[in-house]
Formats: sequence, C-alpha cells, structure tokens
Amino acid sequence: MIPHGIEDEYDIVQILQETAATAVLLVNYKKIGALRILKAIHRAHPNAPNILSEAHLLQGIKSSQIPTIYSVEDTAEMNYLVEEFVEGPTLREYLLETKLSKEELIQLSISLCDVMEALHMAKDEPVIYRDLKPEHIILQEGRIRLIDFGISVKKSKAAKAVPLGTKKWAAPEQLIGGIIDERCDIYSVGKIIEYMQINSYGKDDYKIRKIVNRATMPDIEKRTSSIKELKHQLYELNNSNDNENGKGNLEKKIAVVGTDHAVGTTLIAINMCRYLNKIGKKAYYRDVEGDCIHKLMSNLEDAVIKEGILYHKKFKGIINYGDAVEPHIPPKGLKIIDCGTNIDKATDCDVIIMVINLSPWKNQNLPTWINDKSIYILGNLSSKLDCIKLAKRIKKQVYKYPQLQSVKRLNKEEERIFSTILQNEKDI
Amino acid sequence: MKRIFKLKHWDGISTKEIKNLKNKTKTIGIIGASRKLGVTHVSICLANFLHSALKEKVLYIELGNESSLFGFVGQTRVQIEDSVGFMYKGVIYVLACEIKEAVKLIDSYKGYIVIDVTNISEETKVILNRCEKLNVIGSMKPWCKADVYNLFNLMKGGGIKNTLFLNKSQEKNEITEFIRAFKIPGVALPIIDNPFSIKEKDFASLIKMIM
Repeated sequence: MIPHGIEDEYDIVQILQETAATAVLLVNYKKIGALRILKAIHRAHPNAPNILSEAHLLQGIKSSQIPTIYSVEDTAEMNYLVEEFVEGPTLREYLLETKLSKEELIQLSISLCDVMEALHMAKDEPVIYRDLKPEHIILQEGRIRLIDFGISVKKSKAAKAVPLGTKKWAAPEQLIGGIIDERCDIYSVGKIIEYMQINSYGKDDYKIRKIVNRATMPDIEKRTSSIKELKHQLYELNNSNDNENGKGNLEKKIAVVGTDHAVGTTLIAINMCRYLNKIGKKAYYRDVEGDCIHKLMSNLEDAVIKEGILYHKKFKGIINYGDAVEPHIPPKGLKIIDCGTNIDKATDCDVIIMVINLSPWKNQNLPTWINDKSIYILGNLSSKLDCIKLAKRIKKQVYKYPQLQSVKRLNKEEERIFSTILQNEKDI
Repeated sequence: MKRIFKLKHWDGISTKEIKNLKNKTKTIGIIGASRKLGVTHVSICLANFLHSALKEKVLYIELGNESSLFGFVGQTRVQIEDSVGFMYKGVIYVLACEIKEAVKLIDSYKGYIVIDVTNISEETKVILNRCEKLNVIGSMKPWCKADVYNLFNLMKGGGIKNTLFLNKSQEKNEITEFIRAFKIPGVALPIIDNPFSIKEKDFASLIKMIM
C-alpha cells in the first residue's frame, strides 16, 4: 500500500517493505534533498496507533544513537511517521565480512550499552526496547545506532504489552509473557555481545564470557541487574586490557582451580606460592572456597601470624578472618587464589591454572574458553600418556604435574613446571 | 644475637599455641569477683575470637534471669536443642539461661561453649564444675581484695583445676600478690575496645584464657 498525497514533499526512492495496509519507504525529502524513512499504516489496521506511540516513546530520549523523528501525521486515511534514514551496514552484514578485534568488540558492546542506557534512563520513565537483534543494529563510524522501535514499550505499560520479540535474541520471560522490565533488554544485549564474541578474535576470552553468562542468565533474579552495571563491567575489562602492560606484577592474580574435588588444587596453589616466594616474587596464597588457612593455623606449629598473614617458611597465606576480627589491608603482592572447583571465582583472575585428574571416574569437563592464552592445564595424579591424549583432543599443551614424595617441601620437578608455565607470563 | 633479631622480626603470634589449643578445652567459664568488672565483655571477646579467628563452632551461654545483650544480638533466632538462641556474627547466643537448661546444653553441644557466669551460688557451682577452664576476673586493689578472697573461698573443693585469674589493673605487684596467695596463675586483664571487632594483637591474651 503506497500512501497517497506524499508526492508534494517526498520522492519514493525505494520500497523497503510493503503489505496491504502498511509500507516502509525510503524517500527523498525534496526541500533539502535528504533521504528519510517514511512509515505508513492504514488507520483501520489494528497496529495503526503503534506508529504514533513509537514517536511518543522516542520523544524523551536524549541520544544520538537513535533515529530522529521529523514528523508524525495523522490523516483521515493514514498514519505517517517520517524519521532519519540511518545509513550503514547492519551488525549481521558487518560481521559476515569482518572479524572483530577484542578491543573493537568491547567498544561496540559499550556503545550498545550507551544506547540502551539512554532508553532505560528516558525522561519520563524507562523504555523497554524488546527487539534487539543484529538486524536492528546499524554500524556507523565505529559506533552503534539502533533502529525500529516498533514493539518498544514504556515500563509502566510493559505488563499489558503483547508478548513479542525474536526467538534466540529475546529474554525467556519476554516470550512467555512474564514480567518485563529493563532486564529483558540486558538479556538481549548479552546475546548480542555473545554473537559479536563468536565472530571476534576474543572468542576464547573467559572474562567476556563471564560477563555474557551473567547477562544472559535465564533466571531474571540472577541476571545482571542494570545496564549501568553491565557497562561498568565492560569498562573495567577495557581498562584492564589497556593497563595490561602497565599493571605491576604486584596486582596480578593467579587462580588455581580444579575440574573436580580432590585433584590436588590446594597443594598446587600452596606450592606455587612457595615457589614464587623462593624466587624472590612476593606471593600470597588465598583460599576463597574453603578454610585451608585455618587448618594450617591449627596444624602447623612453627608458623607465625602477623597482620592477617600466616608465614611458614616460603609460604605466605592471607587469613580469612570472620566478621568479629578487625580486617587488615591486603598486602601488595601476587595473589595465588585457590578457587577449589569454583570456576566463576577463577574468571576474575589474570591467569588461570586448571588442575585436572584424568582418572576415568573424575570429572574432566573443561570450559569452552579453554584455549585462552592465559589458561594453563595441569594434569595431576595422571599418566603422561593421558596428558598427551588430552592435549591432542583440546589442541592445547597439558603440563604433567610430578608425583610427589613429600608435600612438605618443593621438589625440583615442581619448580621446573612452575617455571615453564610462568615464563609465558612476562609480567609475572 | 641471631635469635634476638629473629624474635624482633617475627613479633607475631606463633601457631604453636593454636595447635596446642585445639581439642583440649571446650567449655570455658568466666566469672567476676565483684560487679561490673567486664565479665560479659570478656566472654563475648572469647566467643568472637573462637569463631571469627579460629573458625570454630561457638555457643555463648549467659546465665541469669535477664539479659542486656538481647537488643544487640537478638535479631536472628535459631533453635538449639530445646532452647532458643540468637545467631550474631557466627556465634550462637543463649541469653538469660536457667541452670538446668545450661547443663543440658553443655552436655549436648558439640563445639566450644563460653559461659558468662554472673555470680557464684550453689546453683552456678554446678556449671563451674563442668567448665574445663575457668577465668576469674577480679581486682587486687585494697578495696576489692576481699571479694577475690571470698570468691575463691566459695569455690574451694569445687574440683576446678584449670583456673586463670585476670587482674583488672595492669599492676604487676597485684598479680604477684595474687599468685603468692592462691598459687593460681594470674595475668592482667587485656584491654579490648570492641568485643565485636577484635584486633590480632589481642589474640595471645585470649588464647591464654582458653588454654
């Protein structure tokens, strides 16, 4: 349905979409010779008021990343909306031809958060976009612009809104008609970041993966709570990448995490701490999952406690006191974080040492981002052959941890393994 | 010479004392020779030290008919055996506890028990006799000395072997006088500002009260 009566002002350049009662046209605004988008809908169409509501929605939003509305007309036959023509490839088109760098991925993700933040912080009340997908994201000079606000709603009206959205990109609660708030957009933003990550050189980056996992939690209560928080996480990631070279080794964190219980995670973390202190690096062990330090406090009799640190020969462990003890400022130095089997805690660290026992009765599941260069695999209590087999399967080097005669002191073979692993980490 | 240097460098707490502490004393009583000497204050310090510094399970029993702690620690209610307790910073508090109820808890609870014994009587002696360690807070100042003598006279024949006297003041003469008179170890009562925010430097004196 091509609308009548627009010829005086506009020349039709291209029909982008047309049905019996609706049309989306690319038009030339004759007065100044500028391209614009004209959306028209017959007044009898049930969605006719939507065009007007789209204009109302965008009115209070201050962002250059959304299209400008030039005019809204309400005639006897038709409802029209004329808006800015946002020129550029869609995100899907762009990613078909380009592989993003990690920096570009973070920048685009932040840009996406910017526009979403503008919607969620709209003047009168938050606007829920509801239809985020690669086809609605236009790339213009390294930043993101959002188009098509056809199913966006104001937060107060979200409860009564018809459950609409695109499968795969929309949050589960949005598709089943559940409670809708800003968090359903956060889910979609997470999905878009995930899509960009797959098509980027940062596809194994576990820190980005962690941000995505939190943003796309199916359980709305566990999901990242606001777009500001998501943006903050991305900024922190960006800053940590920028400062990577300048970050002193005293601020680095090395996580030691096991794929299962009783694979020797604590022993390896303690011995790594001993090794680093032995070679003159200031390293502190911290147990974030259990109470290993308290067991050491109770079982060692030649250790000393001072300012929240347990000192025993080359070992230095940060004591995790309870609420009723005055806390100490954490000492400066490398932190060896014993994460037990909690992989989430490990993803906060700069380097991850993953301990795996290749016995058939043990869990050997490795995360999908195992190929990140900051992750090292240590096969403990496993044969050399099993380690080689695993290395072939995952296409990554697997270090075999030596069998120990005594846990009381470091042996040469352990020192060699730690030295080999850490020589890849120039900062450490 | 080398040893002196080493001691100066490591002016921390040795874990040897913590190792010795484990599994030896489980029921610790605190009693005052006179009123207002800070029995409750010290008892809370001990309970918090055991839980927050050593990660032990701790039950705090306050004997008596009324409690001034309720308003402070009584927010999270927990059931402990047949009694009502309150959890605060990891320690379970049973407040204004009757003797019978306290005996039952002492016999059944698996973990450290810190008992705030308000005063000595024939009834509270039953509790004192069940304590593996008793800390007596008193003052050897001339005007308070009589209270200390009275308390120890009343406790005679109770069978409490492991007792420590905590003198309210830091005066060494007073402590020496007490040790000579009673042949019981005595130390100065540590000054701990906030029993809910203990400092590491207080650990050594708190360990003595448990060992």
